[in-house]
Amino acid sequence: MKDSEKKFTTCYTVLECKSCKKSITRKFHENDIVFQRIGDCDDCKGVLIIGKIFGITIGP
Amino acid sequence: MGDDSNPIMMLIWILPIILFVFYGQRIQLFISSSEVKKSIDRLEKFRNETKIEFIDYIKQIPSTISDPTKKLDSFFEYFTIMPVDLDPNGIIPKINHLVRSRDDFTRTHVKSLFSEISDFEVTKIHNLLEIVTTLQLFHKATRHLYLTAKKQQNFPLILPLQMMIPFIMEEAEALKDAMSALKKGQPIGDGIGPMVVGGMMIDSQKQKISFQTVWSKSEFNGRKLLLVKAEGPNATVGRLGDGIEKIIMQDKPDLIIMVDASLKLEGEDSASVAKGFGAAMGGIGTDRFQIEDVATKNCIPILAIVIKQSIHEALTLMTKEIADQASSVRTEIYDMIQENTQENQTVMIVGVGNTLGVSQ
Repeated sequence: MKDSEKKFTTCYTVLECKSCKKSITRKFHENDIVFQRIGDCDDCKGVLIIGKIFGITIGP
Repeated sequence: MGDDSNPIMMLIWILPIILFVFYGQRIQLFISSSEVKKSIDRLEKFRNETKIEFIDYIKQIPSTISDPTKKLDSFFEYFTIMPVDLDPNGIIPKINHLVRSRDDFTRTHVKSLFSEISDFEVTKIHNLLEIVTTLQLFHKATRHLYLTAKKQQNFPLILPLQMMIPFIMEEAEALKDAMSALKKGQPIGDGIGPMVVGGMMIDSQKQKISFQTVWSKSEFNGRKLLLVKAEGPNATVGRLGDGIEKIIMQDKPDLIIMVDASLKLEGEDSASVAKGFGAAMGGIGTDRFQIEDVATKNCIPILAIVIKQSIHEALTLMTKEIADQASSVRTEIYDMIQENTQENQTVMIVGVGNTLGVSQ
C-alpha cells in the first residue's frame, strides 16, 4: 500500500460570528458551504457564518 | 600461474563486457520498462476505481432515469481535436469555441441522465467526469508509448516516458484523491482565489455578469471596488474573460488585481503568498488572453497575488494552511489598493479558481 493510501483526511467547518468574531470548529456536515449563514451567535446574537472549510490529513 | 593468465578468469571478465556491448540496451529496456509498467498498472487501477466510484455516485442520485453505465462509458471515450495551429493567427476564438461547445455538450448530456437535477449537482458531475476522462487518457497514452517501445525493442522511446511518468503519476494521484471532495461539495485548494474575493462580497448585492460568473460593487477608503468570481458554490471556474470584458467596458477600472492559486516550485512552502504583475490565471489560456487583450486596449495595469500549493493540494480538499491564508491575502489586497490607487479610482478584484463549496 502506498503512503498516500494509508493517509486519511478529516474535514472541519469553522463557524465565525461576524459581530464578536467568536469562532467554533466542528466536523463538516453535508451541505456546508463557505460564507453560508448558519444561524445566530449564542453569545451576542450576531450573524454566524461558515468562515472556512478545510481538511486535516493524518498519516505518514 | 597468476589469475590474469587464467583463461577461465579471462572469460569471466570478457563475457559480461560482450554481453553489455551487444545486449546492454535490451537489459536497460527491461529494467526501465518494468518500472514504467508498475506505474501504468497503478494508472489503470486509478482509472478503474474512479470510474466505479463515479458510476456509483450517479446511481445513488434518486432522479437518475435508467442505468447510466452504457451512456457514461461512451462519455469516457470522447476526445477533443485542437484547431490547426500551422497559422496561429485567430486560433484563440477557435479554441474558445471548441472548449465551450464541449462543455455545453457535456452539460446537456449530464442533465439528460436525470429527470431533475440542480446546477450545483451538474457542475459536480461535470468535474467528476473530467477526472475519469483525464485518467483514462493518461492510461491510454502511457500504455501506447510503453507497448510501442516494447514491440519495437526501442529503448530511446521508453526514456521520455520514464522521465515523465513521476509527473503523470503525481497528477493522477491528485485527480483520484479529488473525487472525494468533489462528491461532498467541499472546497479544494484551487478555490482560495474565489474564497478571498467571496469574503469581500458577503454583504454586497451580487449580480450575474456572464455564464456561472457573478460580480458585485463595494467600497474601500474612497475607492470603488468591482469584485468578480465564479458563481459558488458550484464546481466551476466561470467565464471570467467574458465577465471582466463587460465590466471593463461599462466601469473602466484603473487597476485590476487577480487572486489565484499557483503551483509551487519544489522547495517552496505550501500556502506561501507571492505578489507580481500580469494576469494570474491557469487553464487553457483563452480567458487569460481575453483579459490581457481588454486590459491592454484600455491601458489598465494588472497585479497578481498567488497562493502557492502543490498539484495535490490544488485539486483536493483545501488544507488548513491554505484556508488560513484567506484573511491575510485580503489584507494584502487592501494594502495593494492603498499603495497603487488614489481616492475616487476604481479597482477590479478577480478571484480565479474553482469555487466548489464557496459561495459569495
